Amino acid sequence: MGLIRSKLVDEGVAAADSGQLLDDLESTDPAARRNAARLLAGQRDSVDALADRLRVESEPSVVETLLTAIGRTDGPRAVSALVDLLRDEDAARRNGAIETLQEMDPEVVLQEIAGLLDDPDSDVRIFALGVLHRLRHPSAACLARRVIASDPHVNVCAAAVEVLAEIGTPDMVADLEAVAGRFRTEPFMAFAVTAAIKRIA
Amino acid sequence: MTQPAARRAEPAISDEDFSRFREFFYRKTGIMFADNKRYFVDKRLRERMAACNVPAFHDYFNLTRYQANGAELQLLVNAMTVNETYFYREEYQFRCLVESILPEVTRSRRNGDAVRIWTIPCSTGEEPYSIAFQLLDHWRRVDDFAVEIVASDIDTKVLERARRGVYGERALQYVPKATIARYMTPVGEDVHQVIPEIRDSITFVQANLADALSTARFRGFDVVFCRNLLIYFDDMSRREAAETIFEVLRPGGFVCLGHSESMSRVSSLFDVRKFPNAIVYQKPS
Repeated sequence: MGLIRSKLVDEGVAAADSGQLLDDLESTDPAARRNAARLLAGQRDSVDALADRLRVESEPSVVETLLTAIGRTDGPRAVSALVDLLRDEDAARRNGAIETLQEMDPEVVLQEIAGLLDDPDSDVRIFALGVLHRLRHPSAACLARRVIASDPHVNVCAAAVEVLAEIGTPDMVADLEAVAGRFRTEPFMAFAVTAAIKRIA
Repeated sequence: MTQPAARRAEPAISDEDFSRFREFFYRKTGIMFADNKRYFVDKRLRERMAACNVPAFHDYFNLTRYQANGAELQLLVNAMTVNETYFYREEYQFRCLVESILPEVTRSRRNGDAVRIWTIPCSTGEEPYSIAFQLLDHWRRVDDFAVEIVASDIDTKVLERARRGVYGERALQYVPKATIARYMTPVGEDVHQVIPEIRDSITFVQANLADALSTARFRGFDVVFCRNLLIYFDDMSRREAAETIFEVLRPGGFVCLGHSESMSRVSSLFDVRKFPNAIVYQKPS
């Protein structure tokens, strides 16, 4: 015994056809589902199947792989599939969608997210701001600025202040002071605004 | 008297060319070049264009994208990758391997069972040979198991050098003299070659962590060393790399990253394990 030459990797693996991979997405074996998701990543006509599986998947390792596969596929359909998950009750799936959207094509993501900032559900608006937090797009800060100027919900505005603390610019200080005034009975808003202004002014 | 030849103009690579090439190379390898790498990238592109005698960037770009056997793309990958390393780099992880990781991995194994270790990227071989030396010198149970070391890199040129196993003084500066005497033979002034018994025991094979298909044959490993590679990847490619490593490991297997890298910032697939010599990551059992 001791050191011996491995024969494990001597043979290549043939590419599986898409039909087989789509079947494997429904396999009872999590490893087969992960493998199918990884091999379908980047194929735009597989986005719907990946998203359908993601909505019902309960195994965390498969959820993570499906999110990455959809993220790698990019494009409006992939972004839309993940944006839908911002309404998901499952926190892990929802947070995974937010993190993945932050890494996708910022132009496409911004278009989808901008609409959600007017959503009647305040939680959805907060999650949309979560995406903006790390989105590499020059207009992301402007959208957060729009939120603090008009959104009636204190927690939504606090989330927008947090975004501006990261990516805001000195010309937004007056808007921040205004939102602190609008919610002057909420001490944490004054604290968040002071911290944000310290960082960007 | 002849006039000196007019200096040939360097081929033009526009900003748009650079952007298109960068996106293409990223898709193929997971490696993203920042704007400040423009000089590095342009220089190597021009060298490959000259070697192929293809003066126009557009034609060269098409060659790398559409050549049936992918040979030029591979040569370009070889030119673009960084291969700086030396023996016993971040040696504390090798001590962790023999003192903590392997005793845990083999706790329920029988004598004669396989123990599999994968190093990627292995560059010119310093890391896999360091692991082999460490096991032979410091793991008392090395002869109880069939220990397989597989070493991979995206760059085929460095794999050829790794198979030869010839190293100069600089690469060997942290290796004890007694270890060099045991496992290497001098082949020139301050140049040594790893003995054939060790060279032949390590499998050197090309692999690309960004390509799920190219790594599909890698399965059943107990330990993966993936050090100082993820720092070259963007977030999405890091996630894909983490998922690849997750698949190649057995349940309970370990992954060792470089000292500046953290799996916790990349993926939630792994558990953090703190051992006396190092922090590593473990695939849940």
